[in-house]
Amino acid sequence: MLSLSIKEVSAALRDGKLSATELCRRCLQRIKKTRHLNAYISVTEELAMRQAQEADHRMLRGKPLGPLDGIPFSIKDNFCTENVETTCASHMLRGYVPPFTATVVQKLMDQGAVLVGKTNLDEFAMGSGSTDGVFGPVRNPWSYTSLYRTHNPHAADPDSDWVITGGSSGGSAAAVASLSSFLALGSDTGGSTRNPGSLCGVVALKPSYGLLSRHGLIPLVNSMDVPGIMSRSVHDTAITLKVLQGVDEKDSTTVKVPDPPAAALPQDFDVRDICVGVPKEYHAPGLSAGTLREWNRVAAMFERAGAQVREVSLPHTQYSIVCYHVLCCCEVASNMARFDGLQYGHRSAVESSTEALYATTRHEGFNDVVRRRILSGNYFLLKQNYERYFMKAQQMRRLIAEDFRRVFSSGVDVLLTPTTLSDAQTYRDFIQEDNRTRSAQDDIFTQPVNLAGLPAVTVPTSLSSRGLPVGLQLIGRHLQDRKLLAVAHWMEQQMDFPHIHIHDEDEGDVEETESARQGHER
Amino acid sequence: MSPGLEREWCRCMSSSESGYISKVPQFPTWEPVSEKQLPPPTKVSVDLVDKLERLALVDFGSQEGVECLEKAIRFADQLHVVDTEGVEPMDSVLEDRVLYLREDTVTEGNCAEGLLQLSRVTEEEYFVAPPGHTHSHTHTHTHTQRQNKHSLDWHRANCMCFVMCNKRRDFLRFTKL
Repeated sequence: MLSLSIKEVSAALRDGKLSATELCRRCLQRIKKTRHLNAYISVTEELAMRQAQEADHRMLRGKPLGPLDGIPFSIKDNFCTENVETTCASHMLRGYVPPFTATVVQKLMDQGAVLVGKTNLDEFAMGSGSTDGVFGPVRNPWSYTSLYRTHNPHAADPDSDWVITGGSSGGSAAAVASLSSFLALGSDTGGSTRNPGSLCGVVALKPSYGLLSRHGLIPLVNSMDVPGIMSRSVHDTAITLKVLQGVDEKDSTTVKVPDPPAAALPQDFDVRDICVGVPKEYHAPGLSAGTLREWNRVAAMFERAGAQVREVSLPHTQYSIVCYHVLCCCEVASNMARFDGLQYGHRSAVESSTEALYATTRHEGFNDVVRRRILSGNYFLLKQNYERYFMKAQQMRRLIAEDFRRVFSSGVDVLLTPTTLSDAQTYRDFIQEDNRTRSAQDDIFTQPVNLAGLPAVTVPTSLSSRGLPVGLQLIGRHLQDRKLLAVAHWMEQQMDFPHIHIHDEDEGDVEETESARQGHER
Repeated sequence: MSPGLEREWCRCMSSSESGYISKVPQFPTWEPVSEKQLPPPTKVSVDLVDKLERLALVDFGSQEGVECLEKAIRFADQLHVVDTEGVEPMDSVLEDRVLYLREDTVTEGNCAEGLLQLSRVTEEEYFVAPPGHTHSHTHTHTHTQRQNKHSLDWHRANCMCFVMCNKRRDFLRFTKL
């Protein structure tokens, strides 16, 4: 039941074959059973059961609210939720209970979706591993599959040889991949939704900048942040996008959806009408052989099906991560200034002066990663460095956006690229390098679209030789998210990406997963 | 075709022998920027460390923190490899459209109590902060009071804040909601 798509489970709810409370209970059980993944920071059991009961009442009256009514979902713990603690995985916000709910979360609840919990992340979403938060690292559910165990005989000890989820929305990705949520929200500033989506084998969309409201998403980099959508199929993502998109009075950077359509995905899609660009600069040093093989395979598949596939160039790609690094630190330095201990969040006991209170509050509240980004940002913003670094990065940003514009105006509909350099690393290997170095490696293919505001989606394509998910990324034109998803949907249908099969699972669940899968595919 | 066979077939497709040329480049198309292309590395002085700590209101913690900044600057130096002469800086991807502005009218409010509850220390309807600028940790009580008096005048002039004396200690009270 838990591995069904939203479309299927929604139909089962309407037909009365399944109740929302039963579904909710199963998800809550699943959360308990997969607690070792550390995917959730808080589980909103009471709220979820209440919402599920309300959904059941609506079903009984024959008046469901929409395709998401009764569907259990989770959100990254950097979206504000009224009466539910919102921590950003930081000491700074431990115990903070916001007085309002983020627009995107409210929209899901207004559609009857059932919030089961808030998921783990890197502190303030700064990271690419979900390893740098105060609640500890998130474990990738694929570390616990029989396949991973057999392919990696050295991974005998599941307590030390597990692989990371990627980040920073690792908890959301793990929740969807381990079947405890049908849908999860992440946030994506430089790849934080797509990176873990790819490493955990789920579909992850970074919508166009401006399409979804950021109101209530605790900001990291205002000019790049977007809420991200994770689910187990492109269709489910499209349904969710349709619900979430649109102008929000409380976010002046939201824009009108061009011609809001009736169906989540276009009905008349023909792959032969599509021109797929392969940006050559995305073969970066360090790309793994396995990911390159998938990139080859899928590009060939498009071509074989009649799509036009051509190599294109985005010449400034190499410098994009540098540009992102500078702009990110600068906006972080300014955004994090709000945390001073006076109005909300952590407050230090040192009261000798206002400055001392600020400084010690911030020392105690932020981890090394956050503090270092704040300090770097302040350096780049110094009067004597402002032009040399900040303005220079903003100029570079235009060159990167221009690269995309040029390619798309040459007739390309979507770009096909890797999402990450390789499949997931073991936690042990990952922490050998510091957060900045890791982010520079891991965000290499994902952050350019944040600089340019474009939509991008990662779709799982296969398992690597280590038995871990590999995904590829499709990039679309600004505000053409629906068309992008249409291509992603076609691509997904050509794949035979397996459902997860967690080792030591009780037999009932395993059988259910297997049979659901047979029914699910094609 | 079974998945296994299909995979095999694709592998043939992408090899040069079959005559099919993949549109995906088979080798990396660029190299990392080399050290000699970069300007001389920046050394962060003790004075600068002080200044940044004061501006950022966070501390470096250790020498490692300072080295980390130096590495971050080194990484950023790669920007200087590219000529951006005459390029207009870009600060928003929505620069080419008119953004929505709502009417400048109050649509919600009356939530002072709820907001004050989020603060660890409040007094009546004020957020409370300790005395303002203190230049040393050994100042006298009188000195603090005098400073607060200064703050009082300044803040009164700005019509936003004022100072009150508390029996327990001196507080500078901020922004009334």
